[in-house]
Amino acid sequence: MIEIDNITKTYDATAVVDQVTLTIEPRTICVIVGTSGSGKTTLMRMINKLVKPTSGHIRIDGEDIGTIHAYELRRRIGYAIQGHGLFPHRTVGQNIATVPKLLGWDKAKTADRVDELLSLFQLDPGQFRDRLPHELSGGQQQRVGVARALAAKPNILLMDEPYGALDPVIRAKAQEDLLNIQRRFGTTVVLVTHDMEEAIHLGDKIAVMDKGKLLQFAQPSEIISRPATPFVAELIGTSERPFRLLSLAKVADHIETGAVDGQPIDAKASLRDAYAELLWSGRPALPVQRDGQIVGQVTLAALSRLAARPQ
Amino acid sequence: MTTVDNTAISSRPNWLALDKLGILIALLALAGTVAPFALFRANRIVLGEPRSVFEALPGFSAGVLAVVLLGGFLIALLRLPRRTKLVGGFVVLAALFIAIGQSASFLTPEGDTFARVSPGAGFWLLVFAFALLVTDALTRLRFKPLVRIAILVAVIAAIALLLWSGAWNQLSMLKEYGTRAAAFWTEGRTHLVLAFGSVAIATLIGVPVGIFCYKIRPARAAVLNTLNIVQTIPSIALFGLLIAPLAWVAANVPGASEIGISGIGAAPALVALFAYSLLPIVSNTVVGLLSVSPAAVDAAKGMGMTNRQRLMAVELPLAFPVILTGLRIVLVQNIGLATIAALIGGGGFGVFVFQGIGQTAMDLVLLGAVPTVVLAFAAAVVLDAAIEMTSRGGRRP
Repeated sequence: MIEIDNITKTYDATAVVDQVTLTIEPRTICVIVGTSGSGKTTLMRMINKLVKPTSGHIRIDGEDIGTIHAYELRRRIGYAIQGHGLFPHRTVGQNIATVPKLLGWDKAKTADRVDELLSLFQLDPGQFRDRLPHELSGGQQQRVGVARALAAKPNILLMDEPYGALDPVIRAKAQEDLLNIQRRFGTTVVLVTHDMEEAIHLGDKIAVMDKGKLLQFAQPSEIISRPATPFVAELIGTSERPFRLLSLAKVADHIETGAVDGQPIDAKASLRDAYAELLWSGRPALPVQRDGQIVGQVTLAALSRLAARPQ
Repeated sequence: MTTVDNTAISSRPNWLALDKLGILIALLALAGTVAPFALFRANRIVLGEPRSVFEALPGFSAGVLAVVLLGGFLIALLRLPRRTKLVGGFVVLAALFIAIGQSASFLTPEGDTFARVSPGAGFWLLVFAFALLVTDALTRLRFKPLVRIAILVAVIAAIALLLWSGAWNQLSMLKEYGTRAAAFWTEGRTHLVLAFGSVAIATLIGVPVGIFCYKIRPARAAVLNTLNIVQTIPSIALFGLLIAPLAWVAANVPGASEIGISGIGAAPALVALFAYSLLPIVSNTVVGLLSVSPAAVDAAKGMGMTNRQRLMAVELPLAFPVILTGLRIVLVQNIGLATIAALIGGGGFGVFVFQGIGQTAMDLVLLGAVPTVVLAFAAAVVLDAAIEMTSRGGRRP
């Protein structure tokens, strides 16, 4: 659990982060979203003491981080940034082994961990371990960057616009990877982005920031249906709201009985995908399949109701 | 009709076209064959009498050289593969170097120890023209660093072989060497100590100063500007300016004169060369460290490296090629500048240069100048290769 308690950071009398208080539950993904200059990155960088707060406290599992040496704290927290920040003169394996080496792990344990992480990120260890970062594609470099951040099995992972430099297809893949890994290890993730779509897709909770202030800290559905300020509503995009709401739920949770013909949709798809398919194919209902079996249908009428503002 | 024309054009072999640089090389070589190949003097200080290739060499050798030159001329002029040009250039250079030695033996009358034969303007022009051909081919062939060093070693070995075999013994420069062999090696050692010693000391001090300027921003401008001013002092003036303070140190600091510090001699020369080396080393260290990717530095911090670990494991290794470039600049610069040390009694190859100027004996000037140029050139090739090897990411611990 990360408790941010009334934290303020001022530079030359300007508050970059202004009296922010929020609590991030363990094993969840918290996305901090805002425009550039909103203080979102500064807020995140105070969690691993890359920025020293002017006032306020941050506690991790009840322990005030002010009492921990900066470098000791950082070795316990994963850190992945935009443009990956890989060390260009070190191989992929050496990059991933950075924190284990700082922590004094023995060679065999480190090597095992490096190979385990490479496999986890679908990079064949034999093929990639000894390559240099510049020999990798952008998507591969980004995966190595996240693997490096996870090397010493941190409970907390901080990510600063990790997918900012990736093209949409590779970004979607990287986001799925992150969700899978977070579920598997139960890591607490704090991710900074300016992309509301990404925030809604990844976040268990979203913190919206503007001009140093925390405007709203809530679950995605809450942010979409009840934006705290006009600015939050604008960030979501008013014309996007119904679709964003649909994107939060899976077809599996809204299957109706009944049978229709035609191309089925998978139960794991989001309601948004189902809605798009209904509109595109001009059908009032789609059959739903799970593990190859037709298990019911999803209807345009039901989705239209679900897309409306919750009362 | 046009089809036929097109076929005619495309069927013309590629190599028959003229090479642009080749035209310049051929013109230089042409001037070189017209100008005197060797100079003959009855003794070391009278004016030389010009001798053409055919006067300077026995008939058969002159013929062979003429054929080789003609071949080299064509290789330079035509658009042939670069490897052909490289090999051709080396063959011509080798022929020229062997021929000049032979012409010295041929022109020197039997038993005459006063006569001097030295290379003429024609020889130098030819060497320059074909050296241009070789370096151009080498640059374009983009050999790997180790291959370039291997070529350098091979060339030096070939020159050493020529010297050792005695083929050049009748040349004026080697006659000057013959009377000064012991001094040549002593001064050579001094020259190396001055050039490499000053760079070594400047590296030991300059790199930490550069790191300091990088870490402490306000110090940067002050330090770099001060070093910039040092750099603007003319070298002879700086050598002179150091005489008084070092003489004072030698006289007043206990133990200073015992370790060789004095107003004139090697100490002020070393200090001056060191002062000149500081700016490039400090500024390249700063620039190199500043050019390290900010993302890598941020990641290093964020993963919990201490300042020292970050410097040693990330910043310095990534800045290393730029720092090495600074080292290359000062090493080549100091090998040249060290000749001036002779003016204040510091020794080095400059001793022969200044003696030669004093005696109007150009051969003696060359005895000092040629080894200096060869040293500087070799240092440049080796360090360039090292820079390339370290900046390619080919480094593994």
